Formats: sequence, C-alpha cells, structure tokens
Amino acid sequence: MESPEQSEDTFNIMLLSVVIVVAILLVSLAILWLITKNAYLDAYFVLDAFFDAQNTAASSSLASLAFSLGVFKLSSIFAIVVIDNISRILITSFIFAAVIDYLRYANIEELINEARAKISRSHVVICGYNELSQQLMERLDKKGIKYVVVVRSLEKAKQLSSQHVLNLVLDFTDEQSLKKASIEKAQAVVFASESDSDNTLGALVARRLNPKIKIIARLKDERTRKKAYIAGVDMAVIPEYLAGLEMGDFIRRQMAYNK
Amino acid sequence: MPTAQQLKDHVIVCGYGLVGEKIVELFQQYHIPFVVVEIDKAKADYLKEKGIPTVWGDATASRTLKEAGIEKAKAIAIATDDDAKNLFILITAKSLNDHIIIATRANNDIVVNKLKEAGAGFVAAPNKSASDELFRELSKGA
Repeated sequence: MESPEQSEDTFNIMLLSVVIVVAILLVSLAILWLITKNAYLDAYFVLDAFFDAQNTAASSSLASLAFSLGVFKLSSIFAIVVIDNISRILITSFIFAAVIDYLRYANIEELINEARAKISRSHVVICGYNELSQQLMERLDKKGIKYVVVVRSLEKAKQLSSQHVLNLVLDFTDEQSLKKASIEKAQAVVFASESDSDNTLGALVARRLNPKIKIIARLKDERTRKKAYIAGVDMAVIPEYLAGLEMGDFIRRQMAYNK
Repeated sequence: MPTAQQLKDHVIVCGYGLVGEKIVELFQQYHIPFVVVEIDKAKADYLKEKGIPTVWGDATASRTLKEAGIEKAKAIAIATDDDAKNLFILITAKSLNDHIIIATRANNDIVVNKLKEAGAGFVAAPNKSASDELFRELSKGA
C-alpha cells in the first residue's frame, strides 16, 4: 500500500516532469520560430515531435516535410532534426521515469499477496496480529493448515512478511477487504483483534459473505458474547477467562488431593 | 462473612480482573474458602459490598499477604496482568509460607519458565490457553 508521503513524492516527480517537458516544447517552438519564422509550421513540428515518439525514423520524414514546405537551409533542417530527436528522448525519458517511479513505490509484494490470497481455498483467515494470533499461527503451521492474516498496519504486515506469512493490509470489517482474503472459499475465520466491536462487526460481514464458514471471535468482555453470537459467531473465546478457569481448576484439584 | 484472619486452609486470589473474576466464580461454585487481595480501593469496596472477603492493598507487600492470612492459607492464585508483579508476589508468598500451592498468570511466554523455577505449581497464559482452544476448534474442520 502506498503511503501519503510516497504518493506526494510521486505526484511531485510527475508534475516536475510535465513542467520540464512543457518548458522544452516551448523553447523548441521558440527556436524553430527563429529559424523558420513560421509559427504554424513550428507548432506542427513540435507537436509532431511530441506525439510521434514511437516512430524513431520519423525525424527523417520530418526533415522531408521541412523540404516540402520550403525550408532548404541545411542548418535549419539540422536544427529541426536535432530538436525533434531531443524531444523524443525527453518524452521517452519522462515515460520511463514515470514507470520506474511507479514500480519503486508500488508494493509488488502486496500485489503478489493479494493474488495468492485470491486463489486460496479451504484456508483460515486470521484477522488481527498479536500474541494470540501468533500462537495460533504456530499451531496451524505444525498441522499444515493454510492461512491468510489480515492486518491494518503496515508495520505488522512487514513483520509478517519477514516471517514469510501470507498477509493483507486491509480493514477486516469491510466486505471488499474480506472478499480479497477469499472469505467465500475459506473454511474458517478467526477475529483475534483486541476490539470486541470490530470482531463482532467483522463476524457479521463474514457471515453474510459465507453462510457456511466457521466464525471464531476473541472477546474481552463477557457482555459482548451474546451480541457476537447474534452477529454470527460460532465460538467466542475470552482468553483471560480460560486462564482463570485453568488456574482455579488446578488449585481445586490440588486442594482435593492434599486433603 | 468471615474475615481474612479467621480463614484457614483458604485460597488467596491476588487481583480481581478478568482472570481473578473467573477464579472467584469457580471457588464460589465449589464452596472453596477464599479471600481476594485487590489494590484498587473502589474495586475492593465493591467486592466487600457484594459479600466477598477482600483485603485492600498491594499484594507484593508482605503486610498485605499477612493480612490475607498467608501463613494459614492453602493456596494462592496470582492473577494480576503484570508479570513482574506476579513474580514478586510469588516470591513474597513463598517466603511467608513455603508449602503454599501456587498458581499464577503469565502474560508473556518468556516468563513461564521463570515463574515455574520460582516455585509456581501452575502457570496459565491467557493467549496460550485461547490459542489451544481455537486450534482444537479449527482442527475439527481440517
């Protein structure tokens, strides 16, 4: 995903290139006018040079045209050909620079990840990257279950990419975003973020997109559980409650054993 | 409602957050005597109002644990969300009652072994417990 700074940078480069090209065209026009004293002819030459960049042999035909229009001085023809070619080089450079600039800032990895996510089948979509999802990912890796992690921040996406984890930088409460994670073809989705409302909203959207999918949500507040189930969650987990039950159960069993 | 000093073979629950709340719920269900140690005055007052034996104070302090009857307690459940604090409470509790059963919470995986080495009989990590549960559920469909 392109950051605002990168967009601004690209825009500035493009704007500068346009200004330079326009300036060169105007200078070319002025020089040609000095040579030929024919503004219409000059405008034609300059525009022809600008738009006819594909035809590299065109400079000779331009020179032929100059002959046909009565420009016989060698220096004039030479100037026309040189200006024509310089214009072509500049235009080509401008296009080349714009393409290079786009490639520099376009996140190729993100595009590849989107394509990989799109062809995923029977996978698990994990929304949110934190300790819980990290531990779940480790277990899924061991079992060989494929998954896609959806995160909101670029920083987390970079962390995941460094671990070679298929990730998408998207808002998982948005329908289009979940579609990009191929939710319609997934076997399950885990909303593991630390926001109960986001997890519940995400579940609602996921259920609408795939009525058969297994939806699991992590919650922090017991009072949200009912709302989560209404939204379409099949299983809600409150990590702290599980830990409390485990601790309490351990003590209960130990006390019974030591009686 | 018995005071902490009157309790014997009870459990001290340190911290009444989400983890502590569930532990208390379980102890109430099984009629296990317990006392809560809570650092937040408002929360401690609320618990007292609800009839839950509570000591208001910092569980890392020996004085607070003594007030909760640590010498006569059977077990301690350390449930705060601060790993360093949990370790400190554990060491303090162990120094006051060497035979006490200790269950503690670990928020970070790294400290699990350290807490066990320090004397915890059981260490619960919320995220690990949750990921185990989630994985079991996901494996059903795999």
